[in-house]
Amino acid sequence: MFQAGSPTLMQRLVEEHYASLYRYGYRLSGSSADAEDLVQETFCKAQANLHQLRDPARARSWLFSILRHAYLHRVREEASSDCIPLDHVGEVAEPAPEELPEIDPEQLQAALSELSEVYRTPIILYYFEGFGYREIADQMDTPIGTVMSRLARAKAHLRAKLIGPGVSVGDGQPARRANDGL
Amino acid sequence: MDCNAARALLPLATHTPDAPTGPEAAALRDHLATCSECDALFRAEMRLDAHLGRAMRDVPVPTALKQQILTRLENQRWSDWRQRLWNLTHGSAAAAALLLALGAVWWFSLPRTSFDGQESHVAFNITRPTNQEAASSALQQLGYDQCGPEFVRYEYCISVGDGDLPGYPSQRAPRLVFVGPREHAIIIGVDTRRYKVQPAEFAENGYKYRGEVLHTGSRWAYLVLYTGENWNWLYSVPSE
Repeated sequence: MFQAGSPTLMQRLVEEHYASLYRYGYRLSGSSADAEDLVQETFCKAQANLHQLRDPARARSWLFSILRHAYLHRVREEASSDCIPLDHVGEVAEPAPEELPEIDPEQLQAALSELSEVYRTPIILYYFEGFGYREIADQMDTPIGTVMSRLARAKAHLRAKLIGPGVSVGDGQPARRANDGL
Repeated sequence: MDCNAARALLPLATHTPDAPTGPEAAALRDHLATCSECDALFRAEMRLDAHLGRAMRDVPVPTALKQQILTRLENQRWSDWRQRLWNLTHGSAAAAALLLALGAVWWFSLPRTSFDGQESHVAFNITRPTNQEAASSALQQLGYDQCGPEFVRYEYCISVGDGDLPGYPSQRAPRLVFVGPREHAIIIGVDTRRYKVQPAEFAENGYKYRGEVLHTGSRWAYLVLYTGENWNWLYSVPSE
């Protein structure tokens, strides 16, 4: 158990996690200013509640969880009209081109912003190294099967927006539908 | 392992934290080695994930952010410390005031060793007599011509007044009150020409008294009512 507000420990946590937290906050909010606020707020809350962190190995998950809750508290409800419903989106991507195009950062953020938070969070965490399905499911307090399903739909959405259709996969063969075991 | 089983593992196999291990991993590896379609699918998926992942993580972090965070945390620690100090001092002051108030309530609610009460053998306008002469003077001021007793230790006398005459409730008689080390006594002057008084046990204001009557050879007698076993402590001359 950590002593509340220990300066040395907090400095270590900041140095190890501030950058990835900022990136996460940026991808969630789409705004660098909001991301900075979220990160600062996260570390302040962490310092005030450091006694809750019993396992140092879980520091990163804990911090990400704090940031996500801080974001949700700010946003409350996203305007549904701004989000694309993914219910109709299949979990299997359209084929992508053989040569993967460069992804424009603004287009990427725009595509992410079209997703509601329940789809955006898992896809962001998925692409941050070290976050497995179980960890994402724990963060969102959601069954792992639901997480995998949402991930698949969110990936398909990003793929469609950023990569485009017409893939030749590997040797140019069209992609087959994967077993829909998700 | 067949293609369906292999492709069911695709979401896990292409994501390092969830990659299958042990026999499952070996079976998948063996299948991919023999199935070019599944192998192509896996490779494409991994390439795409790597591509999207790099783009997702490609966010420039403000250079000053780390120091801003550390500064804010330090300010928060100082703020918390000041708040705790404030709470401590004001809490202590409030606690002290509360204790003082409670102490005052307790003090004033203490039962007083007052056995005069409404019988009013405290004469507020008469100072405490320190000798027989002063006691006589006080009694005269109250309208009694009885002299103060001479056989008592006036250093124990706390008041001169009047009150009910035992055995004659409607009658008033002069009283001197004495408070000793552990007990107290009331000496009541009795006009023997008007009243007959005899030693007896007596109760008043929650106290039980033994009684003795001392005659002075004149018109006046003294009814000595005392708590405790005797009133030797009050005598200036030991009783016989």
